[in-house]
Amino acid sequence: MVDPGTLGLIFSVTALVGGLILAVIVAVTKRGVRETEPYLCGESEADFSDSISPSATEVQWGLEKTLSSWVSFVRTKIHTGVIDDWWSLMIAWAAILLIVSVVRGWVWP
Amino acid sequence: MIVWYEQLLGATVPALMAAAFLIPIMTLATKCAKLYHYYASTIAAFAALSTVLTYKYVVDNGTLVYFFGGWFPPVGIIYEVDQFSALLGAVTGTVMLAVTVYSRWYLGDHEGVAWYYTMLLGLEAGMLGSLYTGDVFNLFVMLEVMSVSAYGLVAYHRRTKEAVEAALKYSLIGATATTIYFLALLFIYGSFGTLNMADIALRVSTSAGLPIGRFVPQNPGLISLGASIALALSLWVFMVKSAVFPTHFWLPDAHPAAPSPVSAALSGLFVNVGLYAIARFIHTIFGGYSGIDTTVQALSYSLLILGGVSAIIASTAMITQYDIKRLIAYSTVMHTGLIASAIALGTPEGMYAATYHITTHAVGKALLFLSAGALVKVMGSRYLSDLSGAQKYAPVASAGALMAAMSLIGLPPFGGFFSKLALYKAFVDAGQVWMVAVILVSSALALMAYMKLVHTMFFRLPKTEAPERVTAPANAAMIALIIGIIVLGVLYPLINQYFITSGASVLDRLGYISAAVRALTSYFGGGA
Repeated sequence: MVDPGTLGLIFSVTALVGGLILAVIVAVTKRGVRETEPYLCGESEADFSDSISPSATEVQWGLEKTLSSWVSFVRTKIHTGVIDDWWSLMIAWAAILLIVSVVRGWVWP
Repeated sequence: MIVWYEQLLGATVPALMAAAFLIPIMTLATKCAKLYHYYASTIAAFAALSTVLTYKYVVDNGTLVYFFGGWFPPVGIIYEVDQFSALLGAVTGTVMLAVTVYSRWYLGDHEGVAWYYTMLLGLEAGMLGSLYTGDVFNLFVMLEVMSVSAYGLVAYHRRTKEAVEAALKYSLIGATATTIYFLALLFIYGSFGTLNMADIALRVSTSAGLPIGRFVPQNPGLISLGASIALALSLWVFMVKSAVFPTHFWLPDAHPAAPSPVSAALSGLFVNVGLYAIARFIHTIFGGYSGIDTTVQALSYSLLILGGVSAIIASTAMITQYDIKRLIAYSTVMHTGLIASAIALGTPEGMYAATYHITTHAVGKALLFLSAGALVKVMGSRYLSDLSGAQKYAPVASAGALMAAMSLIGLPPFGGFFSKLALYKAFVDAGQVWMVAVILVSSALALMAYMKLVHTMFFRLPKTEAPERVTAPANAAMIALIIGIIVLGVLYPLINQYFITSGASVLDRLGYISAAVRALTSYFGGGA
C-alpha cells in the first residue's frame, strides 16, 4: 500500500518533469500565434476578438448560465451587500447556538 | 538557555506594540517615508526571527510558558505556546515580513505611510499575542488590538467610498463580536473562577465534583450551563473572526478595500486566529468536560456542516466576480470553511489536515494577494478585463498569481495539493465522505474562477502600456512566498511530521495543563 502523500509527490515530480519537457518542446517549436480559427458555438458570448482563443471567461459564462438559479440565490438572498440582511443571518445563527447550548448544557435534575 | 527563549517569547509582542506606538512619535521629528519603510521591515524581521526561534525551541523542548511580570497564574497573564500556536506564530511572523517588505514598493511615498506601519505592526502584535496567550481575557485584549488595527488598515484609502463603507461595516460587526466574547468571559469566570486557559482546562478535567464556580459554587448544573453558553458565544465570535458562514459577510467587502499587502495579511493570517481559537476552545479547554460533552458534539457538528456550506457558497460567489481582489477574498471564505470543518472533526487526522491547510493557505493566499496587488498597481485596475496581458509587464507577479492559484485549487506539486489530500483523508477516516464532495465541487468552481484570471493574464494581448514596474524588493517578497508554497509541497515527506505533531498538540489537554503546572512548579523552585 503506497502512502497517498508519497504517491502524490511522485505524481508531482513526474508532472513537473513532463511539464518542463513540454515547455521546452513548445518553446523550440513556437510559431508566434496559433493559426486555428476560433470556434463559435452560436450562442451570445463576450467579445474575444482580441484574444488568441475563446477564453476561460466565455467558458465560465456558460457555467454561470447553467447554475443561474443557484448563483442568483447566492447573490440576491445571501450576499446582498446590505448589512441589515447580514445581521439577520448572523443573529439567527447566534440564537441557534444559544438555544443548543442551553438545551444541551443544562444538567437536568 | 531556557530563560533566554522565555524572554524572547515574552518580549516579542510588547516589542512590536512599542515599535508601533513609537512611529507616531517619530512623525514629530521626520516625515521621511523611507525611514518608516526600513524601520518597519527591521521590526518585522525581528518578529519573524523571534517566532521561528520560538517554534524551534517548542519543537525541540516542548511547550514554552512565560509569566508576564513574574505574576503567576491564575492571577497573572501567561503565554503558553505549544507546537500548534508556535507553528501558526512562525507562519505569521514570516509572512508578515514578506508583507512588510512588499509594502515599501506598494505604498511608496504615500502620505499615510507612518500610520500604515503603526497599524500594521499593531496588527502583527495582536495576531501573535492572540496565538501565544494562555489567558482567555488576554485573548480578548489581543483580539481587540488586532481588530482595531485591521479596521484602520481597511479604511486606509479613506478618500474612497468603498474603503470607508467596508471599514464601517467591518468595525460594526467586529466590535459586536468582541463585545459578545467579553460576555462569554463573564460566563467562564462565573463558572470556573479563573481566566487562565490551562486552569480552566484543569478544572474542566476534574469536574466530577465541581465545587469550583465563584458565583454558583454548589450547582454543577449551572456551571455546565454557564460553560455551555460561554462556548456557544465564543464559537460565534471566533466564526466571525475566521469568516465562516453565516458570519463571513464582512470579509469580501473589507479585504478588497484594504491596500493589497494588508489584504494579504488579513486573508492569509488574520482569519487563522479565529480558527486557532475555535480549536483551542473546543478541543483543549472544553474538550474534556463531561458536563458539556453533548454541547461540544452539537457545536462541532454544526461547525462541520457550516464549514461545508461556507465552501460551496463562497466558491459559487467566486465565479461571478470580475474584481480580482474580491474573487480572492471569497476564496478565503471557502478555505476557512474547509479548515473549520476539519477542526470540527476533533480527530488527530482532522487537526493535522487543518494545521497543514492553514499553513499552505496562509502562504498561498498571501502570495496571491501580493501578486494581485502588483498586477492592479501596474495595470491600474482591479477588473479582470483590464489585466489583459499583465504577464508582459509584471512577470513575477503573474507567475506568483498562477502558482498561488494552483496551490489553492489543490494542484501538485504545490503545498495546497498535499494539504487538501490530508483533508480528504481526514474526512473519509471520520466517515464524513460528503465533505470530500464539498471539497471537489468547491475546488472545481474555484478553478473556473481562477481560469478567468490566468487566461486574462497570459492569453490576452495587453490593451494599454503600463507605465509602472514592480521593484526588486517587492518581487523578492513574492519569490520568497513562491518558494514557500513549492517547499510546502515538494518537501512533504520531510515536513509532514511537524504538522502531525502540531495538530496533535491541540488535542493534548493533559500536556497543555501539565506544561503550565510544571512551569509554575519550576518558578517556585520545585524543579521541572
